[in-house]
Formats: sequence, structure tokens, C-alpha cells
Amino acid sequence: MEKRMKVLLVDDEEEFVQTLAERLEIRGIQALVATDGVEALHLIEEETPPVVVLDVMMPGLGGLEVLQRLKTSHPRMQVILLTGHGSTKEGIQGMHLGAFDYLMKPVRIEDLIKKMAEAYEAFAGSGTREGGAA
Amino acid sequence: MSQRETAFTGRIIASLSHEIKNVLATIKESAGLMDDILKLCPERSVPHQDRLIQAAANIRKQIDRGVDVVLGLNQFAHSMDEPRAEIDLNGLAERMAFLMHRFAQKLGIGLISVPYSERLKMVTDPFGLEMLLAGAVDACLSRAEKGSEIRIQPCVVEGRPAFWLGSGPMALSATLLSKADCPEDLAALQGDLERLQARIYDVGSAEHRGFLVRFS
Repeated sequence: MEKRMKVLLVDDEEEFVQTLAERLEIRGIQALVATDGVEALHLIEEETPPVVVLDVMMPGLGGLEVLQRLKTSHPRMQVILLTGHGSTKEGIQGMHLGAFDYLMKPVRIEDLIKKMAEAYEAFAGSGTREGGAA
Repeated sequence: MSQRETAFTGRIIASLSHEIKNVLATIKESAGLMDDILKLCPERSVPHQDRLIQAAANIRKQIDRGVDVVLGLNQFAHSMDEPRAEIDLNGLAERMAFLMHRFAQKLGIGLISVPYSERLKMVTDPFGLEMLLAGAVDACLSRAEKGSEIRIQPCVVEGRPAFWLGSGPMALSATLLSKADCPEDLAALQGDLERLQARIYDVGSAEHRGFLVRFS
């Protein structure tokens, strides 16, 4: 049986992230949800998702800080940043910190899934598995 | 406005437009989920299924439109961040065409951006430059005929960046408009021109009608 892609979605906009997770589940993707940076870091330790979709602008522990910590503890994990700003500054900053890529919010679900699949391939091709499919 | 006031205005607009974008993102996903669920149901199993699918599609279409507007607002707000910054002139021309589009539309005039063949950059006051170009676009619009089309086109004149704003292709020769012979609407731009070390030239031939803004 083909394994399902597992992703962690991190965004403080709860309705947004829950709805997005539901849409991904409909498309056969296992989507975990965290609504702040601390919860995200817990889930990363527990579930080790290969791909994390991370909102840059979050209160408390911000997206770029989560990215930095995550890349230190799980360097193979691939991170797609969601930036809400017209400015691409945060996205470029995130790329320097090791993000796989960044997308502007709101994003088309087809574009997000395509990017997640690319990130998943990058994870799979980067050596010993850290975590993965359910 | 002082730089502090400009930066404050920009910060607040950027923050609010960011919030609006979050709202739009949530509505977009909710409409998408409605659409997903309706399409999962067997055909005609839900009353008015086709109409509901169409309504969800309309919501998504209008959200995409709203996102473009908010993005324009957000980029405009970010132009107030710094008193000097490096500006991509092709990107700016596109943004100005978007920001001024409605003013042109109300007069029945088209407004488009035409990119330069290469990437052109300039370090200057981004907000001041937008204000100057908006003023030049207004001047073009007030002289243009209904049904015509105005171009905003970055270019290089004698090795320095410039903007052609007018109908038809970019003009090759033009007359410098001094303070003394400037029409009233362009005289109002003199302060901006001086601050940005720019000059404005009038082009009034039959083929090329418009203005050339050159930076030194």
C-alpha cells in the first residue's frame, strides 16, 4: 500500500489551518496542525513530519525562529514558508536559514501540494529517514 | 509628511492589509472546502449542487481579485518603509499601472506598463518616486483622449534611468519643462522632481504624446 505523505501545518489562524488540513486530507495527505511555534516544536519531536508548512508571521515564537530551531535539530526536514506580506523579505531570509521554498499566502492548494511533493522528494533523497509517512 | 509620519502610515497600512489577507485566505480555503465536499457528493445528490459549486467558484474568483488589491496596498505600504531603497523599475512600472488603473478606467483610458528589456535598478526614495510617477500619470490622463492608452515604461536615456509616460512608443527627443513654462499640474511636481534629482520633459509630437522623466 502506498504511504501517505505526512505534513505539519503551522499557522496561528486556526480556522485557516484547520480548513486547509481538511482539504489536504480529502486529497490523501496526512495533515497535522499546530497553531503556535511551541506546539509546532512539540509535534515535530513527536511526529517527525518530513515536510513542515510554516507561517512566517506568528505571535510568540515566530516562523523564522521555529525554522532555525527545527533546522538545528532536524536538518533533513523540509520547510515551506507561507508569507503574508507583499514584501518577499521574510521569504528570502527564510531561504538563507534553510527553508526549502516560500509561497505567498493565500496560496492555491494545487501549488501548495506541488511544492509539498517537491519538498518530500528532497527529504527522501537526502539520506537516512528521520520520520515520514504514516 | 515627515519621514517618521510616512513610515508610521506605511507600517499601519501594511499591518492592516496583512490582516485582511489572512481573512481572505481563510474565506478562500472555506470556499475551497465547500467545493471539495460538493464535488465528493454523487451528482444531483445535493439540492442545487451545481449552483452551490458555481457560488463557491464565484467566491474564490472574487477572493483572488481581493488578494490582488490587498497585495497592491501592501506593496504600496512597504514603499514607505525606508527613505532610500533599491527599486526594480520594471516592477515599479507594473505596480504603478495597477495602482493608477482605476483613475484611468474612470476616464475611459487604458493604462499599461511596458517593461524595459533588461532589469533596471535605481536607489532612491520609493514613496517619493511613486508620488512623482502618479503625478505624471495624472498629467498624461488629463491630456489623453478617451479610448487611448497610456504606457508607463522604464528606459535608459544617456546611461541614466528614466520613465516614459505617454501614448505610443517611447519618444526619442523631448523639450525640458523648466519651472517657468510648466503647466500648473506639472508645476506641482517640481518639489518631488528636485528631491529625486529628476527632470521632466514634454513630448508633444503627433506620434508621441506624453512625458519623459529623467533621473540624474
